[in-house]
Amino acid sequence: MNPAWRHPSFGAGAVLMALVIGAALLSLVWTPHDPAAMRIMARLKPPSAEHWLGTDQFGRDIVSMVLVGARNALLVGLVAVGIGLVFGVALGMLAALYRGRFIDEAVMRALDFVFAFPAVLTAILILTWFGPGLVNAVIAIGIFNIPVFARQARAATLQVVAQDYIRAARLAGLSRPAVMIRHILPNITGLMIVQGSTQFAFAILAEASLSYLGIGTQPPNPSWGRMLNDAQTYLATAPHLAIVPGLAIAITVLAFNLLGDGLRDLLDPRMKER
Amino acid sequence: MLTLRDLSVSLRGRPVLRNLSLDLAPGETLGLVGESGSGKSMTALALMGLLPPGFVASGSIRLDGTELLGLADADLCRLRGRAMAMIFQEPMTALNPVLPVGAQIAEGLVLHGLMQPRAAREEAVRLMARVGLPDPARRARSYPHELSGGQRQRAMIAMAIACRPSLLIADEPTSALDVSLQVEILALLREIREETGMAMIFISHDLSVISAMADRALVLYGGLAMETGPTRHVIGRPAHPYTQGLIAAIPRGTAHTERLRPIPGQVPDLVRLPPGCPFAGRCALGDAHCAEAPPPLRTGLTALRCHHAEPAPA
Amino acid sequence: MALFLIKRLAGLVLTLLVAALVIFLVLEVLPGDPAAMMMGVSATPESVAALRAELGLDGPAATRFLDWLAGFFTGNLGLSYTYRVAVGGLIAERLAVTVPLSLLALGLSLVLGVTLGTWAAAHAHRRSDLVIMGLTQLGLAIPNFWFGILLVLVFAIGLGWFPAGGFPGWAADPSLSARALLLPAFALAMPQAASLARITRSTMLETLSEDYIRTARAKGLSRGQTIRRHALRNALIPVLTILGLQFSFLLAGTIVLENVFALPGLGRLLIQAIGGHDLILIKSLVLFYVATAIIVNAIVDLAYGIADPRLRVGRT
Repeated sequence: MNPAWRHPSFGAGAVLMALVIGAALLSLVWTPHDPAAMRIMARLKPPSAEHWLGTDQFGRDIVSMVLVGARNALLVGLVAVGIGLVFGVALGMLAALYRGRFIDEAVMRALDFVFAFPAVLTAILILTWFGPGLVNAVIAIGIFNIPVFARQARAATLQVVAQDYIRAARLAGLSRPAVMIRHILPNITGLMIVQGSTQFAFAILAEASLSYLGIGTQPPNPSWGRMLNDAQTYLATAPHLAIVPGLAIAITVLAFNLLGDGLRDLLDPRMKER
Repeated sequence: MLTLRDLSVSLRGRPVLRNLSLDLAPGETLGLVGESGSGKSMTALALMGLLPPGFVASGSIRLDGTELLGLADADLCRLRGRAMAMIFQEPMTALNPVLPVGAQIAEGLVLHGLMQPRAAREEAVRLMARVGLPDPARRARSYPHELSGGQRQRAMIAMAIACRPSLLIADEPTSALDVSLQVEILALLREIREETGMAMIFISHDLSVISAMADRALVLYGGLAMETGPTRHVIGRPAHPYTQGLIAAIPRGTAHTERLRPIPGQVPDLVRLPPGCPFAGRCALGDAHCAEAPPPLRTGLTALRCHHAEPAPA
Repeated sequence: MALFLIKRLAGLVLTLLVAALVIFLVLEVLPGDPAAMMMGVSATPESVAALRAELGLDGPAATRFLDWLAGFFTGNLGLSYTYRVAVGGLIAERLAVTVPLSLLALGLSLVLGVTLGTWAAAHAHRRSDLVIMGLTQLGLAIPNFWFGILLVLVFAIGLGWFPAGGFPGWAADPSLSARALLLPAFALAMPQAASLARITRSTMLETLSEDYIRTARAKGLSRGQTIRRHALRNALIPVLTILGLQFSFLLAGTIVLENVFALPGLGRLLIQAIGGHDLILIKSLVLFYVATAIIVNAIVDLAYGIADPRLRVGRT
């Protein structure tokens, strides 16, 4: 067995993530009920053989909604991290390439500025303009991710550039962009994956918050954050509605956080503390 | 006043210091000599009860009649800084960077209940003057990074002698300093020793420093006491092949004309010591038997542990 | 020292100005006609024009921008479209909830985070350390608003110790008002405390291996005294740098938790303003949040220099 699996954080994270991905994939082909089907006669039912986790205020099946919610959450994380990764790494490497010059200063200052806007407020700015919706929320979270990746990418690039073999590659006649892509990018990939895992967790939490506030995912698309907002209205009469979606968010975030921690340890034994 | 009997230290069952016995009288100075990794610092930390996690001490350490091994940490805390104090090698890192120097010196006085905070602050200034820090009232408010290396070591000394301990352990106190500063610090330590009559354990890898400071010397190698006796005999008439090697390696006055003769080979790793004599692999007299069995103790002018060499007759 | 401060201050003012400009452009210039946007598609051109005049939206953009900035000093930030009252007064009124809530949460997270992190470091690799580190992983994973809902479920609906939401007002019932803030502050503090605990643990472990810790022990200080008097300050200096970032998250968190607990603070006002397309209100609120985050970050930066004597400027 690969020793990576024996790392406690990595192992636990991988198992939890498999669970979430499994749920998302399963929801593509099968859910116990149609997650959008409303049955007014079966409103706010407690768990039963028919509805394992009960039904919401419209009689929709909670299990089905949570399964489809996994798809939504993973999609949010993927896109938000993707935006941050592509723009962040490109900008970070660009800044490192022109280290100390105007472009470096300008890019990093601009990114510091973006970073000063909490993600929720960026989202609010975007959606007052375009209207609330999942896409706009994800773009906002992605924008917040850009400076996070850019700082890491810049620092990591500078570290790699200082090493001898990069100088050797330059001397061998490779152009700067070629050195960047062929030698530096593979070297910072590990770090970016670690950061990506953490930002993935952050993105899921941020989307859940926005959807809870009613400015993220819009109905009828199922979102765990949205489900919690609905559940709060019926907290006194149907408390079970508030448990499962929150648990789903927590498990998914935990999976990516653990995975990120584990990867960091595995990629850099010096960082290991345990 | 200090008696060690069969003090051993081990890390996860592997011995790093073996059966060290010694006696120290009030006012006496013992020099602990050896290359780095010979177990000198481990001995000092065992005395203070400050061994790093994982290290276990056994045997007996008696200070003024009190057995220190097995003592609860709270009881040891009452002795540390009060009955015995320690000066460390690195004046750069041994002082807390975010506290003023004066406060660090005064701290022990208040902690051991000797003075009120205000009196302790004044005493700290007096101590700083005593160890030769210029403008002590102002320096007391300085932070360590504002002091030079020599000044920091003086502050360390002031901190160690604040509570007038009866035993001072100095672990390579001058090794990080340049030569002229070394001389000044050694002179200061000698003066303070005369004034206070405290006993001292002086640790150094430098035999010339030991000969300047110590009444008796103990040569440590691979966690084992190789040779011990009055400093003038250990240095003047060494009988153990290792001590002889150490002395031959000292660069003398006109270092350029005389070739330095380093001892061939390397110091064994403290956690991977052979069951017999740790010096066996590098020793000119060494044979297969040496590495197998612990060397016997032979006494004469000096006391030594060797399968082959005999001390000069007393 | 003075030059250094002036430079920092100039940078800060510039950042704030750019932030204001971005917000202004996004909310008032780019949408074309903010009045039309606020009133929706069904509005008649006459009523839109009337609103534009009422809200002072018909002047040139540059004048409106400058007037808006000046409003932050005079308190005249215009009229809220939905509430038809002065935005400045509305914000001031709502601060009475948001400021105590965020300070309470900040204090809680600091005390909890530093205590747990220090405890974990002092007992590194032992059971209590593993338990604390496990709990912090949970604290980071559980969304704060869900935690808030769970707290309501247990302590308000179940045990009835706290109100489930709402806020009577400081004047009407000070003690109930304080109690109304406790659960949301705790929910808000939890993820921050978890991340502070993790950072404190790692900087504390690093600090505890320093030479001066051994010096302190050699002086006769117990392990606990050494940690409190010598290690804590050194370990907290790096923690301070991330406190600014933490505060940004905390501020964003108040928006969510005020809505969970129906607290009449800035965050609830903001979400209501979004629901009512009240661009005038949104504009000032967003700038208020962003400016607070930027200013707190700048203060933390300065505090860092004061906490570490090695970085104090103007001393030898």
